Amino acid sequence: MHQHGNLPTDLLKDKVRNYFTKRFEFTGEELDAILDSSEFKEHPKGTLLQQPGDVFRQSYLVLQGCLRQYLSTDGNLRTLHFFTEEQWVLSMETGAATSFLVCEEDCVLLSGDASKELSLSERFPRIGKYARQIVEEEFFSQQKEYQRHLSAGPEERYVYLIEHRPDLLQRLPQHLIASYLGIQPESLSRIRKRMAGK
Amino acid sequence: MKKNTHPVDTKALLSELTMRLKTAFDPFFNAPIETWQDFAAAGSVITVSKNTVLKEAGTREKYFYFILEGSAAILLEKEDQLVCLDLVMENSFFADYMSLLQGAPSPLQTRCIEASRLLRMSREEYMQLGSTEMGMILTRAAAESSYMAKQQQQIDLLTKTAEQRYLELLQFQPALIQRIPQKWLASFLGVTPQSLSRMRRQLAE
Repeated sequence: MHQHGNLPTDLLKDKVRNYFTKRFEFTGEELDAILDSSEFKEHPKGTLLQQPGDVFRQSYLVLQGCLRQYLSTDGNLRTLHFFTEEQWVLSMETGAATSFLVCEEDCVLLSGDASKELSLSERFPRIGKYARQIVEEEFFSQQKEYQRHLSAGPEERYVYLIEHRPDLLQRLPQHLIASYLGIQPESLSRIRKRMAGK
Repeated sequence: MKKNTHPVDTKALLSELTMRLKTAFDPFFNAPIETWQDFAAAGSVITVSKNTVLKEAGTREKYFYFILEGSAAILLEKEDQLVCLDLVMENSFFADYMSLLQGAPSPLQTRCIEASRLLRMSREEYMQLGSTEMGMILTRAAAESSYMAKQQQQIDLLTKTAEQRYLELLQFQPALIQRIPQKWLASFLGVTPQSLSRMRRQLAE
């Protein structure tokens, strides 16, 4: 039995089946087809999965761990997103990647590429329908995040993290949270002190 | 606030709308002309005056739109201010997508910021069209395109100054700059109307 870190493949397959059944009520045949056209990938903390210029890209379902997507513009690093368990990292752009994707923890991912998903969707229309739903949900999530960036300052967005993503605050070092908020680590410290003092 | 509604019941109108829709969507996916005939026939053409609110904050999105003439904004009310999330011009589809697809109220407001002529269909018609074979392909292409556009919009907001983003709009969407009221443009760029005025003055020098 092949091992992926701490979890044997069968356990990982069960994890994936549970996730898809919970969300989309796929049949056994559909679940098998999804597993057949995807791969489990295991990467230690620090692995760079994608960098600007990369042309061949995968989409991922995070099973374990945390991925960080960030940009580097003129030497400035800006974190765009964190992806944790049961979140999707979708790569659908044509052309080259413009961002970095790095493992901030040891990760186990379900990985697939666009062409395989297309043939899956052709064989199983329900898979296609739910694949579209995933894209739509990720779009809504992007839209809400964009709203926060446009209409809220760093402190308000930090409060959002406390209220909705405390797991990120626990798992990630402060300088990465600061990078996501678009402020210096010292500014984040000041915000936290001010909030603790209230 | 005057609304005139015309069902798509003349050959000429059907033909015009079909061609407009096909032309607008072909860059994303080349669908056969019949698809767009069905789409056009499912809607009504409405004309609305400037500043007409199409969807109020806190309500469910009941319609899906294609702009034939005019422009619209998707807005978020925040502490008595309206923040402009998206600006949409002719030959674009728009709606409060999340509310439309989930069938739930949302805090977003949509409004026409110029007098506009729109092709409008009900949520029921949209969902029905979206569940046909071609409809599923098109809504998938639309979802991906929306996702990528939104991601790029966020990247631009985080990595470019308001001035750079203004210059890009000037270069790639000059009609937007000319026709959108300054307060919506400023809000869209994430600056005050005063800052936008200052920016435009400095660029004119």
